[in-house]
Amino acid sequence: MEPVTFGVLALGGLLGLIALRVPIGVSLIFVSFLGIWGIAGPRAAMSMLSTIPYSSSASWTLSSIPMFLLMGYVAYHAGLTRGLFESARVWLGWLPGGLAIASLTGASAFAAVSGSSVACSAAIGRIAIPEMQRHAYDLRVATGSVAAGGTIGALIPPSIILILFGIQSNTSINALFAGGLVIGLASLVFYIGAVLVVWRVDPKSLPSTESYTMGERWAKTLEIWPVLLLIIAVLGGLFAGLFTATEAGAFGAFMAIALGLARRSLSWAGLRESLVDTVLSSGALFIIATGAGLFTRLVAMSGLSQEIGQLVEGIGLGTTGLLLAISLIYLALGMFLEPIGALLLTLPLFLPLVHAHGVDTIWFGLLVAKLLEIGMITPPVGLNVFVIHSVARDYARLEQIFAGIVPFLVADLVLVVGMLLARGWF
Amino acid sequence: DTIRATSGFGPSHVLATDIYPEINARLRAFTKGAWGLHDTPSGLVAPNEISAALRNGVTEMGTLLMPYFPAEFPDAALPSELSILGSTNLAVSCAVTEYVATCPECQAEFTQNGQIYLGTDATPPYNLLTTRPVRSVGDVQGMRIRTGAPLYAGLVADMGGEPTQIPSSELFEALSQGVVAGTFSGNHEIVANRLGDVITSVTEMEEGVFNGAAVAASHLLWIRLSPDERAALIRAAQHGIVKGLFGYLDDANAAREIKGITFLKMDETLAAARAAYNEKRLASVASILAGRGVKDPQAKIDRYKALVAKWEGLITPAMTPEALAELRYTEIFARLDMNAYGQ
Amino acid sequence: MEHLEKWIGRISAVFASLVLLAMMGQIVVDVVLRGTWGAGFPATAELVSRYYMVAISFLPLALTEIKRRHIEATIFTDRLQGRARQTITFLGFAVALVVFALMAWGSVGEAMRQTARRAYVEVGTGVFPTWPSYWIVSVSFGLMGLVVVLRLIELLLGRFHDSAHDPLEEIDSTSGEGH
Ligand code: NA
Ligand code: NA
Repeated sequence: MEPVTFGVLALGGLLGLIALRVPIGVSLIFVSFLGIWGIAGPRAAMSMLSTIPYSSSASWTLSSIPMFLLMGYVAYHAGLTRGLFESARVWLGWLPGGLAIASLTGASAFAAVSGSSVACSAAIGRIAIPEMQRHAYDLRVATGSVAAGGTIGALIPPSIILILFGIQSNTSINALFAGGLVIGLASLVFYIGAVLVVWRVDPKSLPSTESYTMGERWAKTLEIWPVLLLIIAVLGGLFAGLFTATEAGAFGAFMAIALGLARRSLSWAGLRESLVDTVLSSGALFIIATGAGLFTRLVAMSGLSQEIGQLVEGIGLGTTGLLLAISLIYLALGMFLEPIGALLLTLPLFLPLVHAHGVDTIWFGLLVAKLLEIGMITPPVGLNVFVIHSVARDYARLEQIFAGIVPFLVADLVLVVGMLLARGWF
Repeated sequence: DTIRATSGFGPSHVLATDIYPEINARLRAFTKGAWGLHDTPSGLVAPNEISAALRNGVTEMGTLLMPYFPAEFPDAALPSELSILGSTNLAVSCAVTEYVATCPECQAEFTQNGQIYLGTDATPPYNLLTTRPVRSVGDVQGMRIRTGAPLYAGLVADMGGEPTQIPSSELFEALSQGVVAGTFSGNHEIVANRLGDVITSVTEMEEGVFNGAAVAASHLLWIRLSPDERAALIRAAQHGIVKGLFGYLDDANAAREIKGITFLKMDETLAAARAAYNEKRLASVASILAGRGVKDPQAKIDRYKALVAKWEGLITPAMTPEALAELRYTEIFARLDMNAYGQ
Repeated sequence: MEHLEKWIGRISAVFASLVLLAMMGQIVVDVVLRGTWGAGFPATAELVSRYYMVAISFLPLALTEIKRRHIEATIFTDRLQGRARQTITFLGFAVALVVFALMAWGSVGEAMRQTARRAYVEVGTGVFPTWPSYWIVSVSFGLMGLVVVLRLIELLLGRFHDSAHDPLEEIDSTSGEGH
């Protein structure tokens, strides 16, 4: 058999195993092993299995991931992020749809200390949804805004998705972070726009709330100084070049722990739990990364990517058509898969394709991150929606939350189309 | 048949643009189409995995960066320890290739690691490629500089800098993030690794010609080849490597055309630091090699020095790539028994 | 069996946590030293990549399975009940056992090769031994293999209960606030 046949078989087997609920990392390793065996024999396959786990994990750049995870968990367990929604509320609550806008803004601030969007939704949702409920907000918008706001968490730096993309594509993580900040803030603006449109259509569903004096506003903002300090120090130091993206995670985790201990808001139990959380997330993440590393080798060995590339050329899609096709694939994958798994699964196939078309890698990374984050709020598997459902179980049904997502999803699609149209600027 | 090859340093490196395609073309011609090769420049095997990959047949031919595997190739790495010798990459590449191909201990090391030695390339002279200008030794103080080999690490350390070793695949990232402020390498890397976007200054120290990259075949491939096919592959490899030697020189020249990079001559302090280091280094190479288990190192060093002198005499300024490749083949490999070579 | 699981989980959690703190501390010291002294903590990049990162990547594998946190796509199998569901669960563990047994075996071979030649990397002008770090991979895959075997036994004895988990509980189970 031709090498590419083994590539196709492996890809089919991979999708089958994942559908049968075999863990994604295990599925990747298993089909890669068999595929490499088919092409180069058992000795080569065993050699890959023996050497790749070590050589792919022993990476300096990869170390930023557990460090940023730790920073986010510590900031949460130490209560550093607790006042974010409150503080956004006193500033923005008087606006039409003010509480929803405050949730989105609070989520964006939370995003700057956390790399994950689920944590972002959960943390803001717990405080914001009861508040919106109390002010007779339409439940759909209330829950939808928090679920959507969470997706900003993986766009505004730090972002695990962007770090992994940077490593896989050999591009600057600093540049990805700077772009992520822009896309994250753009998402915030578009989401706020969605809230205003809903308010315009049905003002009663989003009543305004009381206004606060400037003194009260600043007083609330002063209460969250530790987290503001953390954000400014980490992002400021990163973009000022005091430390690298890799080092920023360790620095941020250290600062979060120091702030938590100094304010006595981080207990030893809280620290221990933050560590265990980080350990568990690493355990789930790095085995998939290892599997993706092996799958990348199989794709290279089988020539699968070139073959698909020729197929695309044959259809005559062109660069825009290719990007549109890739976007649709990511939206489809996002319906079912969790973003990191989907990212590592697909990059080995897509990166050589978009490189061959001369697409800017940084721009592509931002597009992929945005598309994967949309998957966090699309049915049937929308992790952010599930988390919000857990938070608001007593008063909102799952269908209601998915209905509440619709305006934000439309805003997202407008943004994605905008990104595709703006590609020429890169 | 098609050989699964891994040039291993990315699609824009001279290895992928010149050397491997030329080996492929020549091999097809020499074997009348019976053998060719397919190169995977990146994604299949990383440079630090190549030795194991060749041993186990993950890839059948690839670029072996000797400084990555000092424990596996103590004798074959001798010329790379002496990279400060020689002034042109053409002569050094030929001298190293003759040295390794005709050194019994080196050959035993390749056999032990399941590999066959096909030849060594050599880069243009090494300079300081940095993100801020280095005009004197004082500017190097505390600078984190990436070095590809301990030889250069020693010089950086002596000048008060901090040498670090990171894989070339992470170099761009490291320079753009500021993890390192510069790299010690040939000007050709500015083109090959797109360093033009991140470095602003080149200080021309001309510290030797790096010769640590060997082209090697897997033993699992070798046993499938007849003696004639083995000779054809080796001869094709010489053509590929020589094409690369000229390609490196072209890239180094192209680097001078890139906007935003200042080329600086070294001042007296840098020249003095280099001279002092080279003297110290040459005096200590024998003991470094002995420490790695190389027997009778001084005699081997002398033999290598003589080979550099020999090839500097053999190569004329007007020599074409074609002529040089054929000269390498007849002068070094045609004299060896292809039945026994690599066995 | 639950006893063994608990101890594997505890020990790997403690070890991995200590490595996290050590990695954080050393990188911070390195950054600060580089800023103040001009030279960083020696061999930080090598220690972080070769030891800390290898440990953090693979030591938590077994613990992650014990807490059922490995990432799977459940969408197509959620409706399955009874025998069909048991079969799917069995398949998952069986494939995982094959994979981790192969990787444990392969990584022991690799670790023995690296140990035999006392593998090292050259750091600046010195050398830094790397061969012990290869054993971290072997131990991690071995532990994971062991936990998967325990899972298969539990499944055959009918003692494995795989309930759809609540994502918020997952966050809360280890959280200090929000109750
Ligand atoms: Na973030
Ligand atoms: Na989804």
